[in-house]
Amino acid sequence: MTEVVMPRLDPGMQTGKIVQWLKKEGELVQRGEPILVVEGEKTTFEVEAPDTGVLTKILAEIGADVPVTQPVAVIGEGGVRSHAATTVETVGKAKPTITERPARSTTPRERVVASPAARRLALEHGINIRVLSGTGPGGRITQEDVLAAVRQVPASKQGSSKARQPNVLRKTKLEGVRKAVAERLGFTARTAVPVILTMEADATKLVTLKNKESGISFTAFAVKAVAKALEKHSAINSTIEGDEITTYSDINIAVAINTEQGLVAPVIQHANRKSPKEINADLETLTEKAKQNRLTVEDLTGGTFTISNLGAHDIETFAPVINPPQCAILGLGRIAYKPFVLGEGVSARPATMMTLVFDHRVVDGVPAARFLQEVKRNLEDAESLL
Amino acid sequence: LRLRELTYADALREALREEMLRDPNVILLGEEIGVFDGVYRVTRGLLDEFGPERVRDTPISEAAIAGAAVGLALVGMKPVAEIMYMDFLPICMDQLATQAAKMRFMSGGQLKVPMVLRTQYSLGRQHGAQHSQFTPSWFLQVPGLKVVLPATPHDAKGLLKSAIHEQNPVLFIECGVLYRTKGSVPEEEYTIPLGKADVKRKGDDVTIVGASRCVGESLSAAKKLEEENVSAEVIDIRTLQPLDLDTIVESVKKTSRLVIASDDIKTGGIGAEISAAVTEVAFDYLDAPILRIACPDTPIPFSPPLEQMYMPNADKIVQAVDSIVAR
Repeated sequence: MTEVVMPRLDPGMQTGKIVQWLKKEGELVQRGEPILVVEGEKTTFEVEAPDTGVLTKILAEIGADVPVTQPVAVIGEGGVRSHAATTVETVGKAKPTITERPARSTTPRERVVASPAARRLALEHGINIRVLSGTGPGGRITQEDVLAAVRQVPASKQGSSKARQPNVLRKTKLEGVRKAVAERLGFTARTAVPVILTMEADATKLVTLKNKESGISFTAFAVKAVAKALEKHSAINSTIEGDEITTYSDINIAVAINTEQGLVAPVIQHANRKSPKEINADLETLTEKAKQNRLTVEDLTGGTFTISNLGAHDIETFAPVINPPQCAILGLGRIAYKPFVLGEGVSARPATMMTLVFDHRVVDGVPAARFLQEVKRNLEDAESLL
Repeated sequence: LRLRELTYADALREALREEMLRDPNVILLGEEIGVFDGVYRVTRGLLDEFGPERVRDTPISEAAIAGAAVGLALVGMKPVAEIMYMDFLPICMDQLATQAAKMRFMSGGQLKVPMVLRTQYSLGRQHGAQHSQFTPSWFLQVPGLKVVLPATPHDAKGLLKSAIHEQNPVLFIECGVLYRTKGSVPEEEYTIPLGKADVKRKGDDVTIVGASRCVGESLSAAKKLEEENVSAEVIDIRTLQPLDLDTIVESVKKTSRLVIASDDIKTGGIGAEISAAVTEVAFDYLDAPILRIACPDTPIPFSPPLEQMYMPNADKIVQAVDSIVAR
C-alpha cells in the first residue's frame, strides 16, 4: 500500500487545493501517471502516482485544502480494496485539514512469494496472484506463471526456455481490430459469469416467409425477433460496468460481422422500431462499410445486445463470448431440416439452435430462459415480425 | 572497414602512438616504460620514436608519477601516466581523489586536469595478494574521475583514444591477463565514447553484465547456456564511471533477469552498484533476484589452484544463471 501525499510545489507552500481527480476509486494507476490536479499558491500541476496499483481510496475531495505531505489517496495492490483504507475519514470541504493515517491491518496476510515482474503482470492482467502456484526456484511465482494463467493453460504445461519450440510459420503483432477483439473479449472472459442456455426453434414459418420476402436475411428476422423480446424482458437489455448495472429503454442490437481485419459488431439502432426490411437494409449498409473498413464510432457504439450468426458456416450451436459491457449475446446456428417428434410420429422440419450466453451477475437463469422462450415464439410466429 | 588481428597490448600501443603523432602535448610517464619498453610491452618502441622528452622513465614513486601528471595536465599537457599495478593506486590516492578529481569543480571551471592514468590488474597471473587486486569501485566514491575498463583489443584502442581526448581525469584500468589476447581492430581511425556500454551478444532469457576480463567469461557462459536453450544477452559496461545504466535497464526489461560478473570483491563492488541502480528503476521488471558473480571477501590467494577457485569464471556464471532460470 502506498500513500499519495500532497506535494510541496514551492518552499513556502503550506497547503494545496484539490482541483480535479483524474482517476476514480478502483481504477488501475501506473507509477508516473497523473492522477490528480493540485493548485498551489502560484501554479496548478498534475500529481503523479508514486506507485503502480489500484487507487483504493480517495481521501480528499475536490476543493479540499490539504496540508503538504498529508495523504490525499491510497494506492493498494491488486483489485482488492484495502480494508484499512476504507476506515479512513474522507476529507471534505467542511474539514479541510484533518487526515488520519490509514491504520495497518491487524491480521497480516500470508506472504506470497512472487517476483516483481510477476506482480506487475498480474496487476496489468487483473489476475489475483494469490491463486497462482509458482514454478520458479523455491516456488516463486514468475512472470511466466502469470502469463500461463493469462492464457488459461495449466502453469505446469507452460514452456520453459528448455521446452521444445515448434517451427514458426509467422508471428503477427496483436494490433488494430485483432487487438480490440482480444482486449474486449478477454476482459469479458475474465470478469463475466457466463451461463449458457440452448433452445431449438422451429423455423418452418420463417423459411416460408423468407422465401416470400426474398432479399431479407435470416439475421434481419432474428434481430427483429430479439428486439421484440427485449421490449418485454428489459432486464436482459442491460450493461454492467464496475458495480453498476444500467438497463436501457433503447434497444440497439449489435451484429457480429466478419471482416478481413477481424470481427466487428456494428449496431442496428432502435431495432425494435424497425421492420425486418429496414433492419436488412441497415445490415447491408453496415456490412459494406465493415468490408471497406469505413465503420464510424457511431456505427460501432451504443449496442445493448449482440447477435452472432454462424449459420451460414454450417455451425449447429456455439457459445459466443459476451460483448462487454453488455450482459448477454445470442448465438445462432444453421437452419436445417431436423427430425421433429409429434406424438408417435417423426417428421422433418427446418429448425435452428439458439444459444443465449448471459452474465449471471446481471440476470438469473429463469428470466434469461423466459427471454429465450420469447425469442423462440417470435421466430416461430415469423409473420408477427413484419 | 579493414580489420586485422591485434593483441590487446598492441591495440593500446597503437592508440598511444596515434595520439602522440596527432598531438605533441601527449607525453608518457611511468616506471620502466621507456628503456625497458614497458613491463607489458604497451609502450614498446615509443621511446625510440618520440624521444626521452615525451617518454619519461620515472623513479619508483607512484605519488610522484600521479602528482607530476596532475601538474602537467594543469599547465596544458596531455600526460598519460602508467601505474604498473592497480594495487599501487592507494599511493596516488591523494593526487587522484583529492586533487585531480576536484580541481575543475573547486576552481569554478578555471582549471582542468585532462590526464589519463593507465594501470592494470593482474588477477589470474599468480602475483599474490598485493599485486592482483581489482578495485575500481573505490573510485565510484570519487565524482570527477572517469573509470574505464576495456575488455577487448578493439575497445581498448577506441576507449584509450577517447580517454586522451577527454578534458577530465580518466583512470584507465587494463587487464593483465588480456594483454596477449587477440581481436579484430580496424585500421581506420575510430574512437569509442566513454559512458556507452556495448551489447556484445543478443539474448532474451537473461542479461549478463560483465566488466573487463569477465566480459569474455560471460560470453563463454552464454555459449554454454545456449546448449541448454537459455538465450543470454551479454553487456560489456566498458566504462564504470559514467555507467551506461540505460543499456542495462533496456536489456533487463526484455529478459527480466540479471547476473553481474566482475573480478572485484563482491561486497561493495561493481555488481552491488549496478544491482542497486537497476532495482531502483526496473524493479517491476525483475523476475528473479539479481545475482553477482565476483571474488570472495578475502585477500587474493597466491596458490595457483586456489586463485583459480577464487576467480569468477564461465562455469560460475552458468550456475548463477541456471539457479534463476531453472524451473
